[in-house]
Amino acid sequence: MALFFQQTLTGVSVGLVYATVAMGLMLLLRAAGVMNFAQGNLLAMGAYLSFLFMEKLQLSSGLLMVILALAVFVAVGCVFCSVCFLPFKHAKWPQAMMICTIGAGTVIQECCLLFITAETRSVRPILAGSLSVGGFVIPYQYFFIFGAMLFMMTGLFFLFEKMYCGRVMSAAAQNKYAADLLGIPTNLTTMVTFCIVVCMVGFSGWLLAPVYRVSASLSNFQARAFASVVIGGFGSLKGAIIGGILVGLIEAYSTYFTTTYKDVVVFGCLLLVLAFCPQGIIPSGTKKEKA
Amino acid sequence: MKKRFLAVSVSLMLALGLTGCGQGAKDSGQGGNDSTQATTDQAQTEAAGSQEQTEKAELNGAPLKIVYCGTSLSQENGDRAKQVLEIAAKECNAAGGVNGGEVVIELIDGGNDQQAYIDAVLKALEVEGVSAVIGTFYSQYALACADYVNEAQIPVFNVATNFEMANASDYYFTNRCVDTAFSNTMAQIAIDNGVKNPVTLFYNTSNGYNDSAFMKAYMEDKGFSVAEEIAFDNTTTTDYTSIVMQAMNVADSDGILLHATANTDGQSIIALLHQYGYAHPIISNSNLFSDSFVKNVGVDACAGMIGFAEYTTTQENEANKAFQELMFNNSSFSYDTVSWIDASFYDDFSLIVEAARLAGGNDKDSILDGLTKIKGYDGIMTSYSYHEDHSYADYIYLAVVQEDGTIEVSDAVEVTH
Amino acid sequence: MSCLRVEEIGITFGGLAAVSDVSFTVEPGEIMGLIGPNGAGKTTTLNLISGLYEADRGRVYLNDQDVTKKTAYERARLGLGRTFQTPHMLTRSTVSDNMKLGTDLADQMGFLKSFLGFKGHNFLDEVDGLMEIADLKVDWKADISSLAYGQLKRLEIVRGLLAHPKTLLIDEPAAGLNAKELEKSVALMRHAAREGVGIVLIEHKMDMIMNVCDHIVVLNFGKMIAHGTPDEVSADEAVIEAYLGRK
Repeated sequence: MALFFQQTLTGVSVGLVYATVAMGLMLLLRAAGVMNFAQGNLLAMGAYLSFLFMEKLQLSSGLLMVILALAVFVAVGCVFCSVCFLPFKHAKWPQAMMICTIGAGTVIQECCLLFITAETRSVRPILAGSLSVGGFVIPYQYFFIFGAMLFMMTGLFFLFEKMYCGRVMSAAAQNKYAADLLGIPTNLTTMVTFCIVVCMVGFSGWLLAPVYRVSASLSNFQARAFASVVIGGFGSLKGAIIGGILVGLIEAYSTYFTTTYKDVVVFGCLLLVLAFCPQGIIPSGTKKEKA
Repeated sequence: MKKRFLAVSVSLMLALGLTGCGQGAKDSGQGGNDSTQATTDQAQTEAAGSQEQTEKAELNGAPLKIVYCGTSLSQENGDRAKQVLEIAAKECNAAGGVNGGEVVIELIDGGNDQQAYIDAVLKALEVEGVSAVIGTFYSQYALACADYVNEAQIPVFNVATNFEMANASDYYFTNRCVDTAFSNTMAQIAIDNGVKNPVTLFYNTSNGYNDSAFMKAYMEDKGFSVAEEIAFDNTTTTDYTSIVMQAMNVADSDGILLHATANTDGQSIIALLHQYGYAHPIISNSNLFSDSFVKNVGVDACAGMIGFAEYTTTQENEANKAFQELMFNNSSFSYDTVSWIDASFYDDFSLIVEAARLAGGNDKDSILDGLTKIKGYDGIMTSYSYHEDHSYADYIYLAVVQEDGTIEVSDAVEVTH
Repeated sequence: MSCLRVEEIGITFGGLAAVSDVSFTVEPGEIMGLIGPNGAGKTTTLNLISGLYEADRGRVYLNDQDVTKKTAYERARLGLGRTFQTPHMLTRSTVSDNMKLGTDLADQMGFLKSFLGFKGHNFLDEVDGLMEIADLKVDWKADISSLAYGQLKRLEIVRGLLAHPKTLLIDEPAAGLNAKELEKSVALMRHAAREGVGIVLIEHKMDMIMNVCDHIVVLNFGKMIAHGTPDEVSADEAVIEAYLGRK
C-alpha cells in the first residue's frame, strides 16, 4: 500500500510537470498558432541556467538569480519568436514554422552543452531533505514544484480563460488580419506570448533540476507533454492539465509490470485514445458550427 | 524580395548557429583553433607533425597513425580524447617517436548516435596508412561495425567492455576487463558484504543484460540468488523514482547490484536510494567511483557505496602523479580534473605504441602482432597483458566511498578471465 | 477635416495593377459607395486603406493625418474600423468576449493599458441602443458559434461602432441577409453616419447603394471609371457599360 501511495505521489508530481509543459504548448498553439517542438529544450535550458547561476557562477543572491533568469528567458523568448514565428507568418507551407522550432530546439540544446556544461550535473534544492509521512517520503523540493506548477497553471488558466489579455492573444493567433484591424499589435502580442511561455517553462526546468538533474535528457519531457495534450483533449487548457497528470500516473503505475517499456505503455495509451476517443477526455470548447 | 532575403538570412543564421554548436567545447580554451572538422584537425595535426619532422630529422620512418572516432568531439569525452591523445603523441615524438617514425593522431567526429558512429568508423578505416583506431564507449555501436572492421583488418581499441565484441571481431580490443569479469567481481563483493539475495538494477543495453545475467549466474553458482532483475532505459527516462521504488520494495532482497552510468541514471538512482532511506548495501560498477560523481551527487548519498574501480582515482601512486603532472603541466589540457577516461585513452595510446615497439613496425599488421605479445605492461589505470578475450586489464581495485566523500581503493585485485 | 482621403493609391501584384490611381474623400457623416464588377479591386482598395496591403504608390489620410506607412493596428487605433464579407469572430469564446475586443479603442488608451485589462468604460452601457437599432437580441454568455450568420454580420457592425471609429469600412453587409436583416443593417449605418462616422460601403445590391450612399466611386479593372452622386453614376455610360447594364 505504501508503494502504491508513493507511486501515486511520484506520478502526480511528474504529471504536474508534464501538465505545465503541455499548457505551454497549448498556449503557443492558441496564441501563436505554432506547435513548438523546442518546448522540452526550453525546459532543459531552465535547468542549465540554474546550474550556471547556482553552481558555476555561485551567485549568492536569490533575487539577482531570479532577475537574471527572467532577463534571459525574455531575451530567448524574443529571439525565438523573431526567428521561428515572425518570418513564417505568411509562409505558403504552414509546417515551415514547426520545422523551424525543431531546429531551434537543437540550437538551444547545443548552446547549453557548449556554454554551460556538457556533463550531467546536480544542483542544490531550494530546501534539502525530505518529509517522512507514514511509509512514504516526500522531498521538500516537491512542495516547491507542486506550489509553483499550481500557481503557473492557475495563472495561465485565468490569463487565457478569464482575462482580457488572454482574449487579445487568442485573437492575434486566430486571425491576424482581424486582430490588427481591432487595434491589436499582433506581432508584439505574439512575442509577449512567447516570452510568457519561455519564462514558465524555463522556471519549471529550474525547479526540476534538483530532482531530475541538469541534463539534455530533460527535453524528453516534450514527448510526454504531447501525449498529455492529446489524451487530455487537444486545444483545451483543462485537458492539458488532466492529461499531464494522467500521463504521469500511467508512467508511475506502469512500473508495476515493466520498468523498461514505460514509453510503450504511455504511447500505447495515446494510440488507444486516438483510436477510441480522438477528441480526448475534455474536448475543446468549440461546438459544431451550424450548417 | 524583402521576405525572401529575410528567409535566406534566417536560414543562414540557423545553419551558422548549428555549425558553431558543432565546434569544440568552450572549456577547451582552444581559442581560434576550435574545430571538429577532421580535415581542419588533420591539418593542425599534420602541421604539428611536420613541425616535429623539421625539428627531429631522424623521425623519417613510417608514421604510427592512430585515429580516434569514438564520440562526438564537441562532447566532453571526445574533447578529452583529443587533448590527451595529442599530448601523448607530442610526448612520444619528443622522446624519439616509435620505430623511427612519428606518432600522428587523427580525429574524426563519432557523433551522438549509432549511425553517426558507423559513418565515423568507415572513415577511420579508410584513412591512409592507419595503424590503429580508438573507438566507442558503447558495445552495441561496436558490434554494429564489426563486419567493417573485420574486412579492414585494422586493430580497434574500444572503451566498451562487452565480451561479445571479441566474438564479433578478431580485431577488437579493450584495455579494460570485460563484463564477465567485473560482473563476477561485483557479485563476489556483494557476497563478501553479507548480501545473499540482491536485486540487479541495470540499463537496458546488451551490456547491462549481460552483466545482470553474469551476476545472477555467479550468485547462483555460489549458492545464493538474485531476487529480481530490473532493467531501465537510461536514454529516455528522466524520472527514476518509480524504478527505484520497485527495486527497493522487492520482497526479501538485501542489496542492490547497480550497473549504471555516471550521468542522469547513476546520479538519480544513488540520490533517490539515499533520499528514500535505503539501508542495504549498494554495489556499483566502476562508472560511479569518481570524485566528480561523488561531488555531483553529494557525499551523504554516496557514502558507503561499494564496488570496484578501474583507476586508482585517489591513490597517491607514482603512475597517477606522473600522469596528472603531464596533463596539468601541458597548456593544451584545459580541464580541472583528470578522470579515468583520460587515463583510459592514454593507456590505449600506450598499448598501441608498445605493440608497435614489440613488433618492430608501425603498420597495422605489426601492431596486431605486437598486441598479442604485451605482458605485464604498466599503464596508468593498471598493468596490462594480452588475454584470449582481447581484454588487457590485469587488475581492478575494490572501492568504497568513505563518509568524508573520498574513495578508498584497495590494492589491486587480479581480474579472473 | 475629412475623415478619410485617398490620393492616387495603387498596388501591383506580379506585374498586374490590381488598383491604380484611385482617389476619393469621405467627410464625417457621409456614406460613400464603392462598386464595380467582381475583381474590380474594391476589397483590395479597402485593404490598402486599412493597411493590410502596403500601397506601391499614392497616399492615405485619416483625419488629415498621413497613415500610408502606418501598420493596420496603428490605423485602427487612429479611428479606422472595418467589417468583413465573412464576419471574423473569435471562436471558442462568448459573444461578450468578442464584443469586448477592440472596444478599448473607444477609450483611446495605449495598448499596454488595454492589454492589461484597464477599461475606461463598459461597452454594455451603450450597446443596448445599437442592438435595438440592429434588432438583435443575444445572450451575451452564449458561445459565438451559436449565432446565425445574419446575426453575426450585424454584430460585427455593432462591434465596429462600439470602438467609436471615425471611419468605418463595411464590406458587403448584405451578402446572405434577408430583407429585414438588411434593413436593420442599413439602419445601423445611417445611425453611424448621423453620429459623424464616415462610411465606405462595398456592396453589389444596387438598390441599397443608391438609397444609402451620398456619393459613389465605381471601379473597373482597378481604375476609377466614375465618381459622383447616385444619379450621376447610374446615368454614366461607362458605368452602364461595365457594370450596371442597360435596363
